[in-house]
Amino acid sequence: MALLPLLCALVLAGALGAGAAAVRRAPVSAESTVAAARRHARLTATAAVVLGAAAAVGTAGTEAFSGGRAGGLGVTVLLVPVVYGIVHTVVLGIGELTWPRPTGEVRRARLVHRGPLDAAPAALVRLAAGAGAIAVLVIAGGALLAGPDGRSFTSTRGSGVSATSSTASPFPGWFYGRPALVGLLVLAVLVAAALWLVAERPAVVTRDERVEEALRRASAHRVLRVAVAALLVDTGGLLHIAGTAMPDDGPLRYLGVALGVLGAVVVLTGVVVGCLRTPDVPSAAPAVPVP
Amino acid sequence: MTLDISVDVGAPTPPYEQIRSQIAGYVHGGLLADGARLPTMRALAADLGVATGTVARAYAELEAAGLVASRRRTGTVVTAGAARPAEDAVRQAAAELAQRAREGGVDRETVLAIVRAALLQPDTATAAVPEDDGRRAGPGQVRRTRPSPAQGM
Repeated sequence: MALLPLLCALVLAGALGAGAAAVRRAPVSAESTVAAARRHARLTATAAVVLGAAAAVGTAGTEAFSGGRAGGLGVTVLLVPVVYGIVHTVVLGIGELTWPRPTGEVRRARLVHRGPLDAAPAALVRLAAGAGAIAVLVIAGGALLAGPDGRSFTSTRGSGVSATSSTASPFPGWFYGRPALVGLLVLAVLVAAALWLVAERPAVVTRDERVEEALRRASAHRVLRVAVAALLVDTGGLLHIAGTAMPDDGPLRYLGVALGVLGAVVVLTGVVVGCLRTPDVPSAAPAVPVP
Repeated sequence: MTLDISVDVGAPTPPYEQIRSQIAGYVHGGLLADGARLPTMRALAADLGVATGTVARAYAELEAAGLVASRRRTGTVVTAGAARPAEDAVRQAAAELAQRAREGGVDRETVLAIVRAALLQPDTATAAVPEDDGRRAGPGQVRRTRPSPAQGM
């Protein structure tokens, strides 16, 4: 039941992709090829956002991952961005699989090797790597510091008979870290597959090489943008929750404030990254130069 | 410089042979240097709208000819192969010819027509039959050639 909204969105995406593959028509000229590619990219991006949002809302609305457990709602909230990212990436991958293919008697291709990261914006790749490393550190640190229930943090002040301890929950221990880690790993695998599909999909036949490069760069940008956003929002959320679990007095108070502020900044960064504009694709040069 | 591959799926020459011959031409012409990475079979097949097996067969024949090598990490790369001093000399002469044509303002089609005409001329180095004592002609000397009886038949 927990995965029902996710599965519904994925099945719908698969059906749309199969339909798109069945009805796609052959472009008749280089210019119509570029136009068809741009249209396909636009439709795919829109479908990815709509289906991703539907899956995320469905996950949140049904509290899909709560399972009636204490703290289950937190897990659901944590996985909403991941579900959005997974569905978004899968739809984009289907879009790359159904990309317009070359037709006609004479076909042309550039003899260049394309790697999965060649078209990906370097800044987003670096951000993804950095955010991934931070996410692993936060999850690992949380798992080590959390109490036996995996979602509380106990701090002790003083020693001997005067020692006092306080326990706060929620704390991003293994209880939250495990589903987040699994979800983010699935997302990472899907992103790698989608970037591979972006590199391997048919090139757009055009006289202007910039158009083909820009279309591929835009595809990679869409894939990475949302995945990095989901990663940052989850990591920031875990950091923020860790901050709020710190005691209100003593030296850990400052650490708590720092973690809380850092988490909020990371979440905000994720939102901004998710809203980044896709790089522009230049218009294709006309087949016959206009005098 | 970006190199293009074109395939005419309606031509009598099979697509794999068209791909093979063009890549081989680029390698022999020095346009694809040793170590240059070729597109993956899947990517090139997708770009050309042909089956992956078509590109795989072209690559396999290029590999059999020693022009490319498949490596696990880097994919298919151009290999230098055996040294071909004669081809290097022709390549150098072609570069000089192209340079002279540019300097003299001779257009590309004319240059190609001249080269084609030169290639159609009888091979004076190997088809020459010694008329008398078999001495080889020295540099700058003109040798008269006569078709052998076998050539005339």
